[in-house]
Amino acid sequence: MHATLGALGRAWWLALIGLTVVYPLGGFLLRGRITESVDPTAVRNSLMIATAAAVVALPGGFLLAWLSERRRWGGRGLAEITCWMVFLLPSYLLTLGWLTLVDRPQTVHTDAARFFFGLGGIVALLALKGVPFAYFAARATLRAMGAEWDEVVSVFGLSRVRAAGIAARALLPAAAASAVVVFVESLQEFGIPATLGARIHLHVMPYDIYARLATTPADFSGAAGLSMQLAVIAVAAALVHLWLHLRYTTALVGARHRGATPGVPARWESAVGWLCAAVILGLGFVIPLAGLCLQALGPIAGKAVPWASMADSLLYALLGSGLTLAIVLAILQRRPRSSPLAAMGVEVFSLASMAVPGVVLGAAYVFAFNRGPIVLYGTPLLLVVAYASAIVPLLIRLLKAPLEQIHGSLGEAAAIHVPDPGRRLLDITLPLRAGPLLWGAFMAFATIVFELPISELLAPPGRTPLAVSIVNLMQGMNDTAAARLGLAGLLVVGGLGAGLMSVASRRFAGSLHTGVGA
Amino acid sequence: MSAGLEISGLGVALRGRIVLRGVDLAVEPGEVMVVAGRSGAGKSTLLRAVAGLVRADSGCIRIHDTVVADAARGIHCLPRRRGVGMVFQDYALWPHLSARDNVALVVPGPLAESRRRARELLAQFGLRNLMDRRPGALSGGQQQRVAVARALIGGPRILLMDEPFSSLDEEAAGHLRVELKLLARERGTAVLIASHDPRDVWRLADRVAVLEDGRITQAGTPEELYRLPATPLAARLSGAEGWLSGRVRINGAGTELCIGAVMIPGTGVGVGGGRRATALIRPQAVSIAPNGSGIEAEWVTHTFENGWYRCYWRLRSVDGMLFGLHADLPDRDSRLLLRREHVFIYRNDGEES
Repeated sequence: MHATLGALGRAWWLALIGLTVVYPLGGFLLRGRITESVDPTAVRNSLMIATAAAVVALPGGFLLAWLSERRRWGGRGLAEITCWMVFLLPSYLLTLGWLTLVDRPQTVHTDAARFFFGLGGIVALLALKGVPFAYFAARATLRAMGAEWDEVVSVFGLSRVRAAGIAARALLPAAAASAVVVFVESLQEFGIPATLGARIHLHVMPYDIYARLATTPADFSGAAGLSMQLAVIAVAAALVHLWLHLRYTTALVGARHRGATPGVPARWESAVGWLCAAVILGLGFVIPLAGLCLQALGPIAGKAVPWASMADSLLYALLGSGLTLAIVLAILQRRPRSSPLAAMGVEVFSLASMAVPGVVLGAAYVFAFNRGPIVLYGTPLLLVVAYASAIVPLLIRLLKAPLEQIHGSLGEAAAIHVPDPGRRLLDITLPLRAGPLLWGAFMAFATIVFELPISELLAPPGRTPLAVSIVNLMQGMNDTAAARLGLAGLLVVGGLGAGLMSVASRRFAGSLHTGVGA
Repeated sequence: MSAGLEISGLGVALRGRIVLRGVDLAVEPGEVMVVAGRSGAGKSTLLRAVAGLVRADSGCIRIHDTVVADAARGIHCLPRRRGVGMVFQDYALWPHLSARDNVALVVPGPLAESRRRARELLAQFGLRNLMDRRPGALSGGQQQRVAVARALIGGPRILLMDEPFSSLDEEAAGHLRVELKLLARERGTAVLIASHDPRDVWRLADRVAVLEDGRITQAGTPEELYRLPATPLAARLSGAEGWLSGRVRINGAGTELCIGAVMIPGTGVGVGGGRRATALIRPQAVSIAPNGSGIEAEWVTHTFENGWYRCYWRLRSVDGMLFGLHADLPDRDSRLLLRREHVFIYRNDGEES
């Protein structure tokens, strides 16, 4: 009986992954061959700008992570806020903000503008969006290095050169892993190529895939071939990241690991850190936001602001985030009871799926659900399912650690001592998980509200999502309406996030602690 | 009177590894039984099987004559229906709730009434002024009291405690041992404690079960365990240490361990003559021999321990050491007498020589 239930449990989520990921992606990618003759310019450009973005983003992100984890640095809060703000600001709004400031009669003929309207501008924007990824990835590894690293150096009186050499051997793999993350994210980025890239006619892989499907007749084979190439590069890079992370994090974490006790930073270290955080916050959030505000105050040149798309996107986000959270919880709930093989399966699945760009997933959905046994193309249902499929891997990785931190004995204590199932659920199970779940739900919600590539490809007729409306307005040179819509979206989502976090911090403070120790 | 807890032939396998093998155990109401053993012996799994957190693969568990688990008949009562209370090793207090609500939530019925009862019980446990604090704001000893109160408020027939004192300082642990013992007797609760700490055996247990590699190798009162420890582990729990290895000789005087020309008198436990064996010796066995009798030895180092000199002795021409407790520091070169009743000789298989 138990074996049957277990098999059924496995079957449903394998069926779900099969239907929402394997079936569409498999069918679409197999249609195009990796050797499909496509314009090599897009591949070359994509590789070049993604590499350049990784190289530019890494020093800033890594420096902030180093100071935050390994030094008692006063700017830790600023670094954290900076990275989250830049991370959460949609790339097409970042671009719009900068476009507003650069594309003015006073500035448009300057060297800075010429730099912006070229590869340099694309790389700079991608690098700004890449800084948070470098920061988050590096912090995870640096946190894993126990206090012993600094203590050993001081106890044995190692010279600065030797200490730096030892640290470098440990840190270079972490830096490489962070760079790979930025590379993958830049490779997949759609918003910047769709806005600034489109204005300067830059061919990059994600936007070219969309363009091949947006023309009439649609070039499915070409899009599939390009998608296959993009997916292979991204998945390969993601696997390199996984290998670096597993290989070196394991080596860094000792059995008797203690949390790092950060040392006091040198004055110059602190100053460089503050400057770096301020520059990234300015370039990546404050200045473009100011640009958006400035633009929003101007007169509307074309058609009015399509506010209905805001309501549509909020509804899609509500449904999509609920569905995403339900699937993630079901998968993570199963993990502890699963075999190590299944755990590794979830790990590889989530990483590989994350490496599949949204535009490829969207294109695969167009191909799979436009004909054949399941016809859903053009329906809100397909759009919501696609959103969920795209975000589930991200959320699995985001929620895995916080949910696993909740000690299993807390649930066992409830199973033994609390006889009322309702009370067990409402007073123990949900509050213990409330922090990560609220955070996960908000992340999913915010991501869906501003999601672009899937929305572009799968938007139902007459129900245009927010991101598509903004980009359409930008492409129609109606930047004021785009800025107003974008700012309104930011305000709604930001307000919702602030409200949720405020409730969570008051009601569920400390819900992630295991209760051991004072 | 029926046993509070009765376990017969209990076997449990986890992830294909057999953790418990045919465990038989009974705990009377009001009795404290300590299950002692090394890490990985299966102590926690035994408690978790009684609580219903893991399923029995063989055997049967009865609580007050009610079968709560029977592998042969496919019976597995849910944990909350077994009438057990459990104190987890890390206490497992719900971190988002106050001490009072951690205890009150366990009581079925209206929350106001549950909270009143929780307040009363926590006050009895000396936590009157701390009950609105969350676990993170309590010390280890206070958390332990909350965990015990939570386990007891439902009036469980069986109280299970997994290494309950392992994270407490000695003074707090000492107080709680006494309180627990009195509490079990007053309420008639059968208490089963998993511990690797010999202090729990000697200061808390009415009876002791030694668990080794998933099997109970000895069960009895602490006196029985002290008088004749059945295994080297039981001997170590009773304070013996073993460094001397040799061959067994049995003669009219009893059992002796021969190491070259040196004869160590002892109590043989399951050893035959001529076998390789190891002697485990309590410090009480060692005294200074008068007038040139005894075994030649020199102490290599000593410490002063609570009024006694603990001397580490090396026997002449023998590879091995033993230690003794002496009221005065003996001469460095002395002759030692060993009292047979504190020396236990075990076969070498299954025990390091």
